[in-house]
Amino acid sequence: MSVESVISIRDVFFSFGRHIVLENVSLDIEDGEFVAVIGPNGAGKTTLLKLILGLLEPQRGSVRVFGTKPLAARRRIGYMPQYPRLDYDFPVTVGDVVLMGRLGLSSKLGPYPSSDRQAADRALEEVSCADLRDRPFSALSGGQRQRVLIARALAAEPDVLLFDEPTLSLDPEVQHDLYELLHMLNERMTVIIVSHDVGFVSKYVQKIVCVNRTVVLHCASEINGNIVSMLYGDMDVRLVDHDSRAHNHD
Amino acid sequence: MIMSDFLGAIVEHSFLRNALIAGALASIACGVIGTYVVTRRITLIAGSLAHSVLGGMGAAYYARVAYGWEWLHPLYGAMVAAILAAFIISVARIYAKEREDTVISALWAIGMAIGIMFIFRTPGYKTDLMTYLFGNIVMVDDQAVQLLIWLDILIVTGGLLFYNQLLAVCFDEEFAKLRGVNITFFYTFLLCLTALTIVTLIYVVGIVMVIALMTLPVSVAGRFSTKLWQMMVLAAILSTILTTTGLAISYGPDLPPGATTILLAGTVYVLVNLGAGPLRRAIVILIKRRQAAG
Repeated sequence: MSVESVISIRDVFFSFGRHIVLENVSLDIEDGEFVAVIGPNGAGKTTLLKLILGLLEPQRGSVRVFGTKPLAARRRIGYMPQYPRLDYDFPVTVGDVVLMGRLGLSSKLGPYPSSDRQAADRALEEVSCADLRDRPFSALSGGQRQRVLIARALAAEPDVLLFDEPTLSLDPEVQHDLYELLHMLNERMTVIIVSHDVGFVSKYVQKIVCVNRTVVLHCASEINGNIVSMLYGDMDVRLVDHDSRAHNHD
Repeated sequence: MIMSDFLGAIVEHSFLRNALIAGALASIACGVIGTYVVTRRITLIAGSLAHSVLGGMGAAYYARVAYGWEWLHPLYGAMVAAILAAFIISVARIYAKEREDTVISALWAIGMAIGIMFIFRTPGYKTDLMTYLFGNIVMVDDQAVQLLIWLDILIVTGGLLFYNQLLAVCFDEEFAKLRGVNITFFYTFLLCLTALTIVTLIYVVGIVMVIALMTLPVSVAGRFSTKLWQMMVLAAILSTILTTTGLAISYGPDLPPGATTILLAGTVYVLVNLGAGPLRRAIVILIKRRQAAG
């Protein structure tokens, strides 16, 4: 266990009542990695993310982010939920949405200072949406919305991006652009994405975390060509296999 | 002719001037806080707060008559009850989780029951009950106007000073939480501001109709706004126009001003919502034609 680990999870157990979601989960994510978390529906991917964010607490085991408790490290994480529960009729402009990323960084009272506005503008430029700043958020397409929400996360100047199912309901071209953007961002921060889309992901990521009640790590190089399609096609079967202590990661 | 009668009456009678001031003050508070209430979708909580306020008003009214506590204006009772109810709902949200709506409904009815009980046990005439329930803007005395001014300053300052946080909490609570915004605090704060706004509306439309004035002008304003603060300004202006017009219309034929104002607001709301779709389509067609021509 290295000290600099961005995320370090040890022997975590989590259940909703009697339904065990995660058990014996241990995982390290190092600085600058591009990690994909994959697994079938209900395997505990989102729960794993929420443990990292400190939105949930494990019943057993420990979760450390940047060497501290998740709650203390929260501000260094840029998180994008799977289905942001947003009201798309909300009277708010793109610029206002991105500025929300600055909350908790500067003054608490009154309007945002110009330094915050500049940071928000930089974030919008980074996702190539600077021209959308004064548009109503409600008037955006799905892909634009996604980018604006990434800009909101970037405005907080995070050290790690956590992304739950980024490609859900986006058409392939937009998906491709999104991965290129994440790849670019990975040059200066750790990127963790949850995805069922292994084929696309493996081109960019260095590490794959398979989740199904417990986790198994793969190097991205292990997953190539035919193996990808095999894994993708028979994901459930293979991951259940993993569950039976076939791998050991100590 | 009716309008000129009304204008003449304003000059003549101080109670009408008080009524107009009270209407405008309530409208400003409504525009700012109503915008948060509508976008955060807590209008039913506002309804519950409004009705539970009767408990405090009834208690103050009783104490004033029975013990001769002249200083105890029923609006003070309303303020205490409103803030208390706001805290109860906030606590219920944290601990009762999905049973939150039961608490909201219970508070609604129990508050009213307490109020009605006190008012019926108060010695003397009970005409005030109707004022509290259905509003009577011409009943606003000087003491009430002063109180309304202070309340307005408090509400508008609170609502604007924490604009960024409240906007974030209304738009995306989970994100605000992850950015270190204390969402429990700001949610409770918003409920308290809502409770105080309701108090400013009691004389204008009465507690039964508070939610209508708190939501209808705001909802109309929302159709023409791309930013939250625009919605606040528009809603405050529209609401002032509605309360003033409501008062003017009701004055001549001696109609209840509260109900007149609400019906007016309801008419505007329905017309704008019916008209918005066709209007938008017409604009789109116009733009397309112009583009085709150019």
